[in-house]
Amino acid sequence: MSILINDELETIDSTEMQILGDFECKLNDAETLRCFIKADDYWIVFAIGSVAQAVGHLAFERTNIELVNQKLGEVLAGKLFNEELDFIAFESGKDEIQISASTVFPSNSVTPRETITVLNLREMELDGLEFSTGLSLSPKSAETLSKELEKLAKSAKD
Amino acid sequence: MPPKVNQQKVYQQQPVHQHPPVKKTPKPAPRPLPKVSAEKPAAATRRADLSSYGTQQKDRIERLYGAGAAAVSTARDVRLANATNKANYAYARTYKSEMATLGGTTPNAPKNLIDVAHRSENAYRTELGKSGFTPSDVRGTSVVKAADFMRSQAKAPGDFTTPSPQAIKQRLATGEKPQYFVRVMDKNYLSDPKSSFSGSKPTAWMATPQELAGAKLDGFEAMKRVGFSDQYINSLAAKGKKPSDFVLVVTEARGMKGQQVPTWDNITNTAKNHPDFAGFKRQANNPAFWNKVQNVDLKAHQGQMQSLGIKDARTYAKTLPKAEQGPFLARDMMNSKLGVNEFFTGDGRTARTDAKNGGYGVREFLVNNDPVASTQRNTFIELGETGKTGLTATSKAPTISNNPLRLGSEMKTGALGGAVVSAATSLPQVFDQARNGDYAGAAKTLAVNAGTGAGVGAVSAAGERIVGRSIENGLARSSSSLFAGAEGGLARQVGGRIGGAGVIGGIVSGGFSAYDQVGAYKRGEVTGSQAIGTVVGETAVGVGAGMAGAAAGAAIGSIIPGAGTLVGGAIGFVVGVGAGYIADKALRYGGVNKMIAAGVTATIDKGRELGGKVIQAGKQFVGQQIKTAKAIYNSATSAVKSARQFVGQQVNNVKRNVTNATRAAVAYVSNVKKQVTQRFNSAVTATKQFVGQQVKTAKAIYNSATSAVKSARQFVGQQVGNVKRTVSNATRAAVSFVSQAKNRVTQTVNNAVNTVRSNVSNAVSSAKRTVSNAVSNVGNAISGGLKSVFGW
Repeated sequence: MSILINDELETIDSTEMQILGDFECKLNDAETLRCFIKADDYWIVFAIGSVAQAVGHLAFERTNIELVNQKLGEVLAGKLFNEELDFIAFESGKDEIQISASTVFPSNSVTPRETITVLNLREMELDGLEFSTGLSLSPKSAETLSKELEKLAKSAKD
Repeated sequence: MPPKVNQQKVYQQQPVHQHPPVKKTPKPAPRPLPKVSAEKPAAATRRADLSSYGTQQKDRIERLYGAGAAAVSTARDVRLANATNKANYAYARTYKSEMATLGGTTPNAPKNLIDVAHRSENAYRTELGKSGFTPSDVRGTSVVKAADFMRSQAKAPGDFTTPSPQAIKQRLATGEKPQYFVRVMDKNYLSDPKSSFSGSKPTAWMATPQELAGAKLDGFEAMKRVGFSDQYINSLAAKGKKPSDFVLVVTEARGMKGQQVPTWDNITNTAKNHPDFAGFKRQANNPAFWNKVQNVDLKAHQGQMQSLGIKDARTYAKTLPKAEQGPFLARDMMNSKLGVNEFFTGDGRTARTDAKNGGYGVREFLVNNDPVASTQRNTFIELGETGKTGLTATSKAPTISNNPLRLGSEMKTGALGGAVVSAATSLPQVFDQARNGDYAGAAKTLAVNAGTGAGVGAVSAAGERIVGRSIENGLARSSSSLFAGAEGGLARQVGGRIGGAGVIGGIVSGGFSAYDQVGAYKRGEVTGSQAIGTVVGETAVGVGAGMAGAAAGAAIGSIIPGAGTLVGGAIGFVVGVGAGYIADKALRYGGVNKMIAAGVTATIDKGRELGGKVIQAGKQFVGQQIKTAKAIYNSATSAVKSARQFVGQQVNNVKRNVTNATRAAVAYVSNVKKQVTQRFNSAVTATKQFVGQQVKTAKAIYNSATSAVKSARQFVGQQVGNVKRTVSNATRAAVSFVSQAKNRVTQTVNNAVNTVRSNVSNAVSSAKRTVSNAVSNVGNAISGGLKSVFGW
């Protein structure tokens, strides 16, 4: 058994990155939060919180914005449900993106909650946290994310 | 042919049974027996004798009751099994047909899965009711029975009840597997035929009905028991949710896949296989990490987050020491993705959210989160609001009955059947053997027949168990309880011999005589050898006569019309006792019992006289009796085994036949299905072609019709133009003609007027002239007349 906790990780610090925009989103606990889109020349980072202490949840290469949005669009269109898949995953560059959708009854609730989760399984430490680098959003927030990605992809082309 | 035993004439005149001629068997060599005198009892003695005899026979009859009850019970079992099969089929059939129309527009279509299940439940009850059964009669699992159990428990008076912490611990320790699962569900999520127990993948949390029964179908109390926090329940209430908005789904455990007790290990494995936990893949094989996850105090962290005003777990994690960040994030994700909330204990039960009952909630289970409808064995119970608040812990949590054999009430009716079976199958031979002095054979025959008769008659494990238990009990009574209270080595030895001798009787009669003789020996009324001999003689007589009488009596009781089963049984018992007494006395007056007793006694006594050989003789004798007893027992057991084997073979044959028939049916159905499919496909193809052609033809017709319509329109347009033109010309011509005609008429009229005027004028003139002439003429005439008259 190997404990990889001490292996070399890519370190990403979003605190000094340029803020490209922000949008409202709902995470697991269904409370509305603010998601900031930050970027440098290589990374695009989605961070939750106030401007000052926004903590990165998801990061991937800027060159993958269009591809991530394309796959996210497929999930939002019901690909996982229609094809009975648990998730879709793809690699591009060093990124290992996984997008899943699930309905859960958190805290033994009787009310199901839909979530769409975008993970980057690339080994990294984002804003000092090395675990679970991903965004788990409500379907509506995931649609908003998709629109933001579309804008980013368009602005990159212009 | 008269029997070989000595009998008084009065008994020959009142035979209990008619028997075919009996083959003679050689008499054993005569022994030097003490002289026995046949004494006629007085009436009082006879009554006492009869009473005592009746007591003994009552016990014997009770043994027959056992076999009879088994037979009756088996008949009921068979009937119940058939009814249950039909009911299960009705449930499945209704479920399937209702599912097919769920959410459809057909009249009376079910609105949701609750309607589907309830209609299936009604079909199930109806089918059972046709055979006089209810769901509670059904053996084995039945969701309807479980639902009825919950409903009946809800009606129990008093506060809520819950299994005590000790009772829950006990169940956890024994690993008791539930037969049913229940889960609280929102009615709103049951209208979709594909609704799962708990949203989408991967698992669903389940509880057991026994542990939720004490919630008395109160919606919010039920939620508390399965780990819904007060805060969450209050939020539901604040949103206007009522307990009646929820139902309990009840499903059979055997239909649920992936059952596991939600221990930390199982939860951890589930998490490792969940896609959203992929962010922890680097820790998958790090047990130290997952141990830390288990030890995260989620409730404390949630409180801390609230106090800090942080709503995002990842942001909160940054406030923790580095080593705690990962375990906290994993534990938080278990909560959000798997429902492992702060009340999860990891030992197979949830903590009670209001901390009552020592914080012990119900046991919980994880199952695969399949669609509710896929189990096909489920139903729903409406929840409500009871207004109760008190809670009583109990160590006697109710259970859903498995309905063991109900021999208590069936003993009476079953006795008749058992007695008839025994009498019909064994008595003639028993009597014949007894008459010919073959008492051991008679005992064996009766024992074997009783066992076999019951075994074959019962045709069930229940019957075999009862017969076997009866024999075992007889042996146990003979060999163990008889020794109780015997003091001293000699007493135990003699008691043992008596008990050994009583084994024969113990098999069928329970060793009554042995009991009596042990008592008599202990009271000093008889010697040991006398007691042994008496037991043998009594037993042989008891076997041959007593059982016959009892069985015959019961048989008589059973056929008395109009007496009713119980009354018939009672009368049968009385007659049986009387008949048995008569038969018994017939043998006793012949001295058979005493001859045997005396022979045995003499043998033992003589052995003693021969110098301490009594013990040896006794041992040999007892040993022989025990061997015989064992042989009888073995024979009975063999008979039961044979019966069981026979039944087993028959069952196997039936199974093979059923299997073959099933295969044939399956093959046939498969062929038919293929043919139907082929025909259907052909029909579909032909229909498609036909429809295609028809569509083409229709299109062509349509096109033609369209062209025709266009032509018609053009033609009509032209015609209309022509008509317009014609009408216009005609109108003009008419107007011209009318104008000309008018002119002509005017002219003609004017001409006519002129002519008339002229004519009138002429006529007037002429008339004037005529009148004038006439006047002239008249004047002339008058003048001429006057002249002529007057001669002027």
